[in-house]
Amino acid sequence: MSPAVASVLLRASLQVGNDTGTPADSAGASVEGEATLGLRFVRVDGSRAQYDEDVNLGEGLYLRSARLRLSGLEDGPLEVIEVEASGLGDPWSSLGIQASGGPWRTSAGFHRQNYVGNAQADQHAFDIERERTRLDVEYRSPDSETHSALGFELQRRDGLYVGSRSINLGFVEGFPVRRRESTRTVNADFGSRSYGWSLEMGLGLETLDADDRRTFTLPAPGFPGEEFSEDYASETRGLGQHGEVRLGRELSDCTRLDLGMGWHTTALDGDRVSIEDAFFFDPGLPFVRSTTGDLEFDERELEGKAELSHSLSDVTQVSLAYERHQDRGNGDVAHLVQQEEFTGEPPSVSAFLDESEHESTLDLVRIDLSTEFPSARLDLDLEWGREEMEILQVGDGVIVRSFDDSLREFGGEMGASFALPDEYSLDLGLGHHLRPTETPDAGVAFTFEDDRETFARMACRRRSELRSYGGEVRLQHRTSEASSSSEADVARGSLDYTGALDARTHVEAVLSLAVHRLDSEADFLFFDPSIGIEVVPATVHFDAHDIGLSGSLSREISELHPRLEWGVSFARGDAEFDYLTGSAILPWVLREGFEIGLEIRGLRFDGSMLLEDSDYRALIVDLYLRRALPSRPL
Amino acid sequence: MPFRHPLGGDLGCTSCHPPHGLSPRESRTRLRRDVCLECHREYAAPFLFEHEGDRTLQCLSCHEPHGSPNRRLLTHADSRMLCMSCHAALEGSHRQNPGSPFRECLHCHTEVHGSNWNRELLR
Repeated sequence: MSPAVASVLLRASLQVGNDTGTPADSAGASVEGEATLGLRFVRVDGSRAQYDEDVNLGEGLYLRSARLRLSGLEDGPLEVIEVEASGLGDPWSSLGIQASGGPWRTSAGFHRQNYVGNAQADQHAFDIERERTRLDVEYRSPDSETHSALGFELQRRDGLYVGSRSINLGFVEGFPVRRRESTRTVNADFGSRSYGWSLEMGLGLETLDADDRRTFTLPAPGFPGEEFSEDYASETRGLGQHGEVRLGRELSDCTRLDLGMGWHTTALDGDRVSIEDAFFFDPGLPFVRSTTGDLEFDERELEGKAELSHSLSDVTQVSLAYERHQDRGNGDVAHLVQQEEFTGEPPSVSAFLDESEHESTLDLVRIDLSTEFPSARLDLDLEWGREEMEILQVGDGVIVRSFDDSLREFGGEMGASFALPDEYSLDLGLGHHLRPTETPDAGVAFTFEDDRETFARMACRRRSELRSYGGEVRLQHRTSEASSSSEADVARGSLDYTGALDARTHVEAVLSLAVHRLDSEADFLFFDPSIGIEVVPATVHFDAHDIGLSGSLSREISELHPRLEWGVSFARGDAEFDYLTGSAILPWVLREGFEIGLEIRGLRFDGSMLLEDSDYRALIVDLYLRRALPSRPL
Repeated sequence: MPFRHPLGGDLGCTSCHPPHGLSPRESRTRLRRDVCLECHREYAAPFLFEHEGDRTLQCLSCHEPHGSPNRRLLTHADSRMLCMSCHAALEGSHRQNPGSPFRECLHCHTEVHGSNWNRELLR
């Protein structure tokens, strides 16, 4: 940043709090902006953990939002500078800077999220911090349609989880797992237009680093007084490369051709090491086992696409597309296990190799049609696919899973919209999809079986200048042969109203209902010491109903704009709870550009069955102060 | 539904649903995976051992970001109900009678998005 620009930024920041309302001089440099500061108080009775998971808001001072825009600065890439920040001090925060001038656009951003999920009923509670930093520079030629861009991005995630794992047909849980991942990406894009063709190209590189650590010493399941311990660590490193080229051309006034090709490769390598101090189903059979693993994995993807679009008339368009996706991956994990069983024998050392190979080629044909009538619009999408797939998994030289066959898939959706008299509209939708789904069959050979889903949707709405109201129903039926056989129905419906009750009062309300049902064949395995394991065929039945009512009421009263919001949700079935929320928002505009406000939120959660011990009552009070700086000359 | 993908900071509706520039089909395809992975990069394949779910719906096979009865924004209130919508025929000792610890699939199969170390997605 040049010293002149830095000086302007400093002067602008000093002027934000000194608003005289002088209009901006459009010919020179000007500044405008706003800042909103908040102060939050929170009281929670009951499960604080559940509150954190649902609401994730803490106490204290925070910056709700801030924006500063400088324009008309020196010629060049810093002609306009805009700085924005939001949520600083809150779990979701971001800071962004954008600069533009002439053919240049530059933007940089930093985003940070801290998300806590530690409800009592959550078996894998977590606390994650995620950060994303990026810088993008774009150049658009003023004399041609050429543009190019360069982007850098760094993503980082650091998460702490509550872990669980199986031991001797039992479980241990409640131990910490720490996982960290970071990726660094650089992308370059170029686009141009010449000889009637449009060209878009992109190239990118990405590196990945991930590690996973877990350590525990916990009571052995089923053996009071005995303990299991494990110390586990793994690291994975990866390098990805990708590129794509897209070409487009108007063949005539009503026909367009688009061609595209892309590739993506990824190479991973990793190491793992673990030490377990445990026993085989009997404390008298202890062992110490150390395992190392060495991972190598390569994946290559190649895809091509050709699409022809044609306008049959001013209101009717049809397009035909063909796509081919090729995917090939192969890798292995080499394990080395050293086991000390304290029998007087030397430790046993064994090595085994897990290998996985897959290769698939998917051919897809798509047809889209859209047309309009005087008071109706019709859309039709159809898709056919055929995939040649080969999967081979080998464990220590023995084939453990294999598949080599071709699969088919089909999807079709139709939508129709009608404009009816008296400002009513009607939308209808219908669709059917057939997709191959991998079966969970045990054994070496497995298959893909058909999974069919059919849905129908109807929505009716009336929109006028002052209000909009309507209703929507969606019914979905799914049958699958992939899991013995199963049938599932999902029905969703809603009624909503948005409108003005009078010139100053506005109301919104939504009533929603969802019903889930699933019947599936399954085998229940019962253990009886006299006869061993008994297999009992059964039907698994799930049922859940959820109903919710939410809305808001707001009214303008001179400088006050009070707003009430409410939400009521009831869930019944496998996870039962009542969730009630209510808010009162009271902004008060003291004078132009200066506002203070109060937000009071109350929440009540009552859970049962899976959500037992999760009840809480919470009161959140937010005070905020907003100061706006109208545009003014510098 | 009581749980939805949180919005905050500069994350809003248009972060996933840009209003311009994509055809409805392109938008649908992007919404099933690409927009999720912009932030949740750690779930991006490839893994040596993958759990693909529904190959067409991808992330939306199991997650419903706009409103879910489940805190992890699953399409079903109970994670077991979701798993068994595909994996009802269970093998080996996965007894499902009431009280069985095997009723909680995620107890052991913690790496449901994919694993580089274990074929059964156990770690």
